[in-house]
Order: sequence, then C-alpha cells, then structure tokens
Amino acid sequence: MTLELVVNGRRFREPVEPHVTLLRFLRDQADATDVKYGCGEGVCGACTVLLDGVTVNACSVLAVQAEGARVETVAGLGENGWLHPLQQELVERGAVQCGFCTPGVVLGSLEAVRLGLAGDRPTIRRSLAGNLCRCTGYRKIVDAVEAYRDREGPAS
Amino acid sequence: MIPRPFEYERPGSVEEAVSVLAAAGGRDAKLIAGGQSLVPMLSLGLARPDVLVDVSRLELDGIEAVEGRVRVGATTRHRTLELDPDVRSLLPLAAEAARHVGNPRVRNRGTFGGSLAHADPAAELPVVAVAHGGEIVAHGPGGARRIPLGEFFLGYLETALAPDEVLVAAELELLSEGSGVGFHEEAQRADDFALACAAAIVEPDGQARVVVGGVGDRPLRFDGVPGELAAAVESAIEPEEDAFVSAAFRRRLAGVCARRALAHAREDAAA
Repeated sequence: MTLELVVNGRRFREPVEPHVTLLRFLRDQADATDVKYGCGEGVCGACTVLLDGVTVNACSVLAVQAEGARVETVAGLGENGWLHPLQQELVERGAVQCGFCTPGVVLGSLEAVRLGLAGDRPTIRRSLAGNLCRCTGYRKIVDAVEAYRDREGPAS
Repeated sequence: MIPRPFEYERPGSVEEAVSVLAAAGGRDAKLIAGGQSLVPMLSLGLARPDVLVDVSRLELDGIEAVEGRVRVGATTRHRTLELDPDVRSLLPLAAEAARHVGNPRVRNRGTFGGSLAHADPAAELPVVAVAHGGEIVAHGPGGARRIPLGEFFLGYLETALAPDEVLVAAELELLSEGSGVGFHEEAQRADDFALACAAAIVEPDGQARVVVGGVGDRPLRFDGVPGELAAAVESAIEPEEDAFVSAAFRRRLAGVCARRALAHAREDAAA
C-alpha cells in the first residue's frame, strides 16, 4: 500500500506493508528516531506521538491506520532550535537522566496540562501513568511539569 | 516483536465490513478499531489473523439517550467516556471506570466497542456494561441483531458475536432516578490490568447489584441487598492464581472491591 501522511510538517508518500506499526514507519521511513522503541506493547510510553493532535503509543497503531493523518513527534516542538519551555524545565530540574522516556513524558505532560489534568501533584503523577521512567523516580519530572504549568497556564 | 504479515481492508460502511468478514471463508479475519489490545497482540504473536478489517473510520462513535437507554457507539473512545461532561451525567459509572483503562494514550485510541468485543475478563468496560444491562447491537449478513448483555460474554475473550458480525453499538439501560453508582479497582500499578474490579449500582428502593471483573472468565453479576453482596461475591467466585497473586488473595480483593464500590454507590445515592 501507499501511505500518505504528514510528519512534523513534512509530507510523506511511502510504500508500507499493513503489518508495519506507526512506530516502525516513523523510525525507519520518516527519519523520526526521536520516537523511541521501548516495550512495543503500549505500556512504557517511550513511543508517544501526537496523531491528529492526541497522544498515542506509536507501537500500538498500524501505519496504515494513520493514512492522511498529521503526526507530530517531540522533534517538532520548540522553535528556532530552542527547547520547548517544558523541555527547558525538565533539563533545569534534573528530570532527564538517560533520556529514553523523555519524548513521551514531554508529549504526555503537555497534553495533561492542556486538558487541565495537571492540577496538583497526585493528578500529575496519575497523568504520567504509562510513561515508565527507570531513572528519576518521577519526582523531578513532577516538579518540572508543575513549574511549567504555573509558568504557562493551561492555555499554552 | 514484528507482526506476521496480513492483508488489510478498510471498508467504507458496516455492510461492506460484514461482506468482507463473510467472504473470508476459512481464513481468520479480525476487526480492528482502536487496536489497543490487538496491535500489541499482533506484535507479541498472540494474534495471527490473515485479514484485518479496519472499522475505525466508520463513524460509529457517539453517545445519545434513546427511550430509557443510552446508546454508545462502538468506536466511542475511552477518553470520551472519561472526560465528556454528557457522559458524566448519563453514564457516570462508565466515566468513572474509563479512568482505569490502560493509560492516557491507550484511552485516546481504544474504543468502547473494541473493549466489549475483545472481552478481556479483567477489562473495566464490560463490567460496566453488564452492570447497566441492555443490549448489544450487531450487524451481520442478515441485518441487525440484538444480543442481551447478560448473554453477550461467554468466556475468556469469547462473546456471542458471530465471526461475520460487527458490533455497532451498546444500548445500556438508564440508571433510575435517585440511584447511586460506584466503581473500585485494585491493580499492581496505576492504570495496569485489574487484579479485581467492581461496579456497583444501588437503587432508591435499597436493592443493589454489583458486577466483578478480573476474577472469572467474564464479568460476574450479583443482585441483592448492599450489606450482603460483598460476602456473596467472595463465596461464589472461583478466581485463579497467576504470576502475581494467589487465588485466595484475589478472592479477598474481589470482596474488597465489591464492598468499596457499594459504599461509593450508597454515598452517591445519598448525595
């Protein structure tokens, strides 16, 4: 099949087999290696991308199901080479260690803040369910999300 | 961790989807909607269909009140059940339970009909559907068929759907005026599969029902007075042990879930 979709503003028209996941397509055929392969079964959140504006695990969507969609990855954030403000908070607060979970944490937390689901620390922790981090113990991630929320407000 | 190859069809209507399923003959054709159980199962080699029929774009989503019932379209996302204000008022039990499904990304993509048709015994929404009661609406080669929810779940990953039928909606009985609902789940981690979960509805006349999940091969419903139901659950179920918990612990946990769901439901009814 031929798959047409837009990844971070770039249009792709590529042959793809039906059994290829969106994750494999993004990494192998769309140069989007910022999308990480973690568990491959929808548990760890490392492969989080925005599919038509909502977060999904790219490992759990078939590429053919994204026909005509607009996909955004963490590399599409930020402007003119500057980090997105949430990324900046994560860096400043030591919430990035090995960094493997970070793309998913960033996209998932931005969605949580946007939906008003980051009101207090327990809610932020809950919104991080499905973003497994084996380094930080989450506390500094929650600090960073809280700081970002206070700085930008739910509208951003 | 790479799925075995399969053919892929994206029919333009429910009728077309039914024809594709019916034409599959002896080959294994499976429907895919959100794919939040199926795609991981494909990747793990646990499902090896010959043909996937994608119904995710058929616009079967939506929630509407119809003659004493609430019709929930098959491709309504878990996230809609969780966050939509209309669902909070019409189907508060579904809204509460949907928060426990997978994680936010799974809920953004996974569908109500998919969860019912997949029939994982530990899944939350089948438990909610059985607690409400009502009917499943399925389309097959002979047209529409209605299956009472009490007869829909047959066992582990097994339902009354025929191989050439498409689940298009569930029509859930409306809660009666003055009733209260509660849902409680215990899992290893936030948003993990339920070790046990329970949905409770307490009627204004004091009668109640509780449906437990994760402790049998399908959702199990118990009717009676609230004070006696948790004990009834504990003595009636025959849970299995697994890699995480013993059968005895799971039995206790089911009782705890039932008790807490009922307590929430009584508070809710009083509120």
